[in-house]
Amino acid sequence: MDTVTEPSERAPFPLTFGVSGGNPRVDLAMRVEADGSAVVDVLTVWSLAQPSPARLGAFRGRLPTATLEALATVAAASRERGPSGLFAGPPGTVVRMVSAGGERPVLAIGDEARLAALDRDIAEAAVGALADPIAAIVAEARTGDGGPVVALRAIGMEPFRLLLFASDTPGFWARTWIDTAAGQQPLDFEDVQRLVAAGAIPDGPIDLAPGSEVRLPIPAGAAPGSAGGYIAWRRGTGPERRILSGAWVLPGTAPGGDERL
Amino acid sequence: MSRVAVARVLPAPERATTATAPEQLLLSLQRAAGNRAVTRYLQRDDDPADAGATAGAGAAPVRQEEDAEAPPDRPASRLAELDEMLDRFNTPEDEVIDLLGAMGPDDKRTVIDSYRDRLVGCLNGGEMLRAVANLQPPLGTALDWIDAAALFTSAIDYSEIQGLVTRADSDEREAVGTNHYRDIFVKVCDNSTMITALVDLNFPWEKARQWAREEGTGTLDLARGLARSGRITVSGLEEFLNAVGEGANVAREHLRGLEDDSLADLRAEPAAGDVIRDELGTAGAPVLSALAGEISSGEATITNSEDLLAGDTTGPFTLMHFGGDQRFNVTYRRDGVDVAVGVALTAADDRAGLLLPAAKNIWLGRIQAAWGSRFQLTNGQRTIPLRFQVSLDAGPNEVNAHSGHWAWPKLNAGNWFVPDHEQVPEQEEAVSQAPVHEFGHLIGNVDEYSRTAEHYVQVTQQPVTSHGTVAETDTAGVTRYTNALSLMGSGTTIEPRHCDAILRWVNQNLRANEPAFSVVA
Repeated sequence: MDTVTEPSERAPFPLTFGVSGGNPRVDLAMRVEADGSAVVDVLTVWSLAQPSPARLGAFRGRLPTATLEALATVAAASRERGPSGLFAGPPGTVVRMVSAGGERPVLAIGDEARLAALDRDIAEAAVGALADPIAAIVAEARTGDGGPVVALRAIGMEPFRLLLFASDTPGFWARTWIDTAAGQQPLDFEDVQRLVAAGAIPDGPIDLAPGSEVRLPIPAGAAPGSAGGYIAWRRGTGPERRILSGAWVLPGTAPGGDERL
Repeated sequence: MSRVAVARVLPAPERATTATAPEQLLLSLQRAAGNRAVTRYLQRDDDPADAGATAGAGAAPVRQEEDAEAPPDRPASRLAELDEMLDRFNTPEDEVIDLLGAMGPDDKRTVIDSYRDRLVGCLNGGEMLRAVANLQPPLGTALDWIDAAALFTSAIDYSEIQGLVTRADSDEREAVGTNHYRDIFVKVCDNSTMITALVDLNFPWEKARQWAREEGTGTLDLARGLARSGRITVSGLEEFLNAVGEGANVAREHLRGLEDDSLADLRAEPAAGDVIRDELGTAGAPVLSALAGEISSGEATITNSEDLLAGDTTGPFTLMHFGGDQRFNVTYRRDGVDVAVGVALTAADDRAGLLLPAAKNIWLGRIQAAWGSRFQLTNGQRTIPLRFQVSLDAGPNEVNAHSGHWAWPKLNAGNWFVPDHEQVPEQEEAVSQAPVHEFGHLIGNVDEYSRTAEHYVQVTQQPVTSHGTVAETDTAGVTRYTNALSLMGSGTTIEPRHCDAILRWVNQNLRANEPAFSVVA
């Protein structure tokens, strides 16, 4: 990343900091007010190291003053540079973007070591925010009457707007899969379609009230100790449908393995 | 070795009477009184004129049937006659030689067994050539006697002993295949006649090559000589040798252009490889590879270039460019395509360093299980496997290995996470498998996630309505697409298109008029 001079003026609030991209997908954003209060969005399990079961959604947190100052400096310098230079790095790079005063986000620029330090400080603050969910979900795998499922349970103060299936647009249907040594073993589209037709999976966005849950089937073949992942969407502003992606572990002992959650 | 002058067979005996230069004096003495006299002269420093007086001295020969009455069907022994001649003050060399030719088989056998020193003592090289022609001892014996009798063996021309060689049976020729006789041939032959000699001797290729090299005869010339004489009968050898004669590039192209069967025949002939090694030296390495079946080999540098809809989690997507160079080596052989990829792994922390050796084994196994033995290349003429050789110990691709949770901010391009069964069991499987995707980048693949609809179709060759496609829409209604099944998306399935960079390289390095390949599972 470029070396930049100190910005000529302070960046206006609110500030935003976001990281996205990579494989597996990272998707984390923080919106910070002048007093350090922040809303943190964590949309994939790879966006932040957190205890299992992972929490995904929006959280309320606070940025320490020193971190806030560092972010403000980066944001000011980056907005002065503007949107030029959209080369983001090699494939798999997690893109770091900042904005100030409600402007469109731009690539964060600055000394890489200082940016990396900012990453760590923001990650620490984001982990702290996980304890205070605004609207979030927790994914837990368990074996139900109809077989293993991933239960998405809403937590926080507000309903979580969840999309598991959209008949209006191809590509929006929830996925679950088992991780195996031979690769992912996915749930078939036809299975999901059948559950939608049966009413077990809602078509279109739903407001999942805190404490309530929806269940997605795990493909046949999962056993105690099996691990895998899922994809769903958070329904946002206007047409916004952002991917939620997480992992699950079926409790029990895997054959030849250790006891898992 | 190159010869100096060819000494002709020396004339009939005559007594040396004039002292001139020491060598001339010795030659005169040898002609007149024989080798033994020369030896005595050299030892005693006597007057050479007196040397012949003792020429008849020496060990008494064993006589066969001398006193016995010869049976009617067998000639009478003439050994006494020979002894008498050899005992004379001035040995009548021509008479001795004639007598050897006139002797019966028993006498000849006796002479061969017991008269070596006496004959060597009185005959010079030229006379010995005639003597062994009459006596017809085994080839090795003949060569030894000639070498012993000749003051300068190198003065003998191969044509003078060729008859001995060609008349010898295979056992006799095989018996002279030692370093001792090689040295005699090296003295007798020059670069050219060594080839003739080796044709006559009919040695196996490797021995012929060793002798030729000792002489200084080019392996290429030897092979040509053996081919012309029919000693090597591989089809297409002459054309190949001509190509080698024109240099490494011509030779390589010649081999690349051969049909598989012709090349296999040539490769089975050991002379082919030796000619390349001896004639072209280090420049012959690619020619040897072509002989082994290589069509082409080189480094493929792939510049990955991809535009993805990236951007902030809660904001609009922004089209951003990602890219970088990936390097791997490709070798297209007649029996397969080998792709070598090297990764230099560096542990980013102590625990990663502790777990890295085991992680390498896991990752290598996963990469091979996923990529190896999966695809073939076919072009109607041949269908060959695509093989991968992966090194995680060194290479142009640098990767950092981390421990802990596979998550941002450590999760980024160029970072792998070691499987950690004790501390991060829930991610053990996922991080074990993750380098399979990264390996896909290393062989030139772009990502199949966060694509515009147009790019998605271009890259995945699938419509956005396919069941493997995951969509995502931002606040402005812009949709990006990810292939949830494909390895280069968010899944694990490897498709033939993921070998396209390799395929392109191979198709750019085909033989003339060779159809392009395609990848099949």
